[in-house]
Amino acid sequence: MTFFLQSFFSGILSGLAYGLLGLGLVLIFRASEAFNFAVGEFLVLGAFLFYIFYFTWHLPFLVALPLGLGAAALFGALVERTTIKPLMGRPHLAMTIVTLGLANVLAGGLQATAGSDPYSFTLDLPDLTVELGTLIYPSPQIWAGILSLVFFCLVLLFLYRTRWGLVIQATSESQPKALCFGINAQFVLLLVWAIATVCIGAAGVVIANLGALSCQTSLVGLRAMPVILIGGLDSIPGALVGGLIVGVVEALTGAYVEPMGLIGFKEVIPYLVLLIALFIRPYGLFGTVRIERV
Amino acid sequence: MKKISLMTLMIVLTFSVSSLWAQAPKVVKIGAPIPLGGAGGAYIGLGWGYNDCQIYLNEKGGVRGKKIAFLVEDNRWDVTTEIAILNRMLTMEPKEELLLFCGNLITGTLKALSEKINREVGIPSIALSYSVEMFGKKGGPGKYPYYFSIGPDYAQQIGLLLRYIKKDHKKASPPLLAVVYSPTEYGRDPLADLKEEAPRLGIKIVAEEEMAITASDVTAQVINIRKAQPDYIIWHGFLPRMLVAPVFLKTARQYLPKVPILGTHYQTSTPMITAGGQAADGLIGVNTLVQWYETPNPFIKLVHDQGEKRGRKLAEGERFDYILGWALGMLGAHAVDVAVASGDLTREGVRKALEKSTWDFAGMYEGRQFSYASHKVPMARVFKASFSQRQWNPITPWLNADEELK
Repeated sequence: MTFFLQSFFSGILSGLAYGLLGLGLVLIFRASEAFNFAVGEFLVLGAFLFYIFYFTWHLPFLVALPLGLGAAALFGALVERTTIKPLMGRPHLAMTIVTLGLANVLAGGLQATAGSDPYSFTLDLPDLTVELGTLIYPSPQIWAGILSLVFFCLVLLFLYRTRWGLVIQATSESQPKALCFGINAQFVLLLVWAIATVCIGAAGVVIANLGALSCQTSLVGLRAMPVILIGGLDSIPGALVGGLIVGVVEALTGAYVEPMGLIGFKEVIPYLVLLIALFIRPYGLFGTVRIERV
Repeated sequence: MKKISLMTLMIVLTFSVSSLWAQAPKVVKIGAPIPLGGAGGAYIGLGWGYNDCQIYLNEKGGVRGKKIAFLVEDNRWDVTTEIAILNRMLTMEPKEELLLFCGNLITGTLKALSEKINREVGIPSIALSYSVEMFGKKGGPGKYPYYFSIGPDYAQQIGLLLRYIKKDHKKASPPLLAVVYSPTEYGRDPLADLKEEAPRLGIKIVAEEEMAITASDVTAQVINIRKAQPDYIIWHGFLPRMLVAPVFLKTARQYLPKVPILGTHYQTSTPMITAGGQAADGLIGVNTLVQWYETPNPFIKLVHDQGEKRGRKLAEGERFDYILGWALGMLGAHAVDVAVASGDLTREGVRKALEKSTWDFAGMYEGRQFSYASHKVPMARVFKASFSQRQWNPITPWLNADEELK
């Protein structure tokens, strides 16, 4: 039982970080119906920007984090202005394909500037390690859970408790209707990309703190795919639930299935769960069921 | 009649000599694939090592008048890419010019191309792999006559670590060992030997975990290891630029802060300390070469002097690779030197030169003698990492693995 609890709650803590990553993608999908395939590169870039302020310039965490994520937001806005905005009114698939190209350009650019060495990444935060008998939850994992949850709640507060959040929701519901009400949909899209980049960058910071930061960290971005497809592409709570499902399933598979000889199965299981979820609920657990009249 | 015969003889002789002269290469080409991207990371220092070694040799007028050219190409630490590069070099480059391969040569590539290199083409290949299958008891010169390595094979390296464990373990109960490796040819290579050797030394293997080289979270595997309560962990099959390496170190330090972690050559490198940070402190490992900061060593002095002469500003992590580039380059050049001296500058001549070599890399091994007949340099040392010094400190003198593990 102890072993189960150890693995289960480790999965929950990782799952919260996956949920935050998924939230970034859901926001973009709701606003522009595009899937951001450059999520992994956004994650690495956000974490590297924070790295510069925190590790290179030695600013305090509470200063470096907003500065790093602010820089990430500016980058997200710039990407939207230069690659997404020109495609407005075109098929949504075009935007998705642009993000594929963007992923390659960013991957090359990151490797050229940051190199391929992993960067040691340990945040100097209070030690919150929990030890209960043989159970142990190290501080970085607990911080990953706390920070992810805080960011998730902040984004929810912004979306549901502020005027701009309401505007984003309205635009996400229907761009033409929002335009009719005098909402500047183009600016809203810019704002959404900036917020989404902050979410993805914040996820990058907490994930890097679990190990290290390198250009290869971008592969974690692939985890966002099962997360949001299981939860529902356009569902904010779905991103959180999807993240938790992926985190827990991964942890339990690593603990119980891999020792049976199925080594590496932990990497595959999220996609297997995704496949099963899509068979049962093609729009994800909380996704909107769309009926298209022909 | 006599005059005609003499003229014919002269013409034949002239053609023979000129064709022989034409066949003798002016440039000796050495195929040198290196990773500049991919999952293994970029080993820029390795490239600079070849580059500066080539300049150094050619500035001196080449090796006995023959210019040396390293054909450096990016293999992306990918077996398929590396095979394509080697095949292309074999097809495109003249046989009398391309005399050896000397480079990254991933364990997977050595296995895939073993038939071609050792039976069909016959080109000496000095690898950065220490594969047991190629250089261990079941491989070696009899089976792979054209493969060479620059250190003890991975099984021998692990053998040295197991002996360290046996000596270090103070409890009455037998030492409990967990094994961590990557799911690659490289990672799995010494497993069978390890499982055979550990029980023979009274060491019990209690956990075995594979970790994907791109994994960013290994908590589940480390929890499994923690459950088995090992006294020591041996990890193998990871390069310092693989993301999983620092991730594993950090996670292991969180869950198993007091369990010593021991590694083979590539885990025992300065980039591993840079990447692992505080988590790398106290790591133990076997390394087959001399370290950048061991400046009294004549080989390192040569490397430093040449690096400074070329204005090479190397990052901390790149210095380890720079030494590798120089070690491989100089060994290749030494083999060419011996081959030219013996009048047999062919692939076979270079192979024979390597096989008979007792060259000690300009004094790297501090006067210790060894034989290269087994196609590998049997020398290595055990090191301990110091994060505050950002370096590996030797805790043993140079050990001859062939003798130590008899």
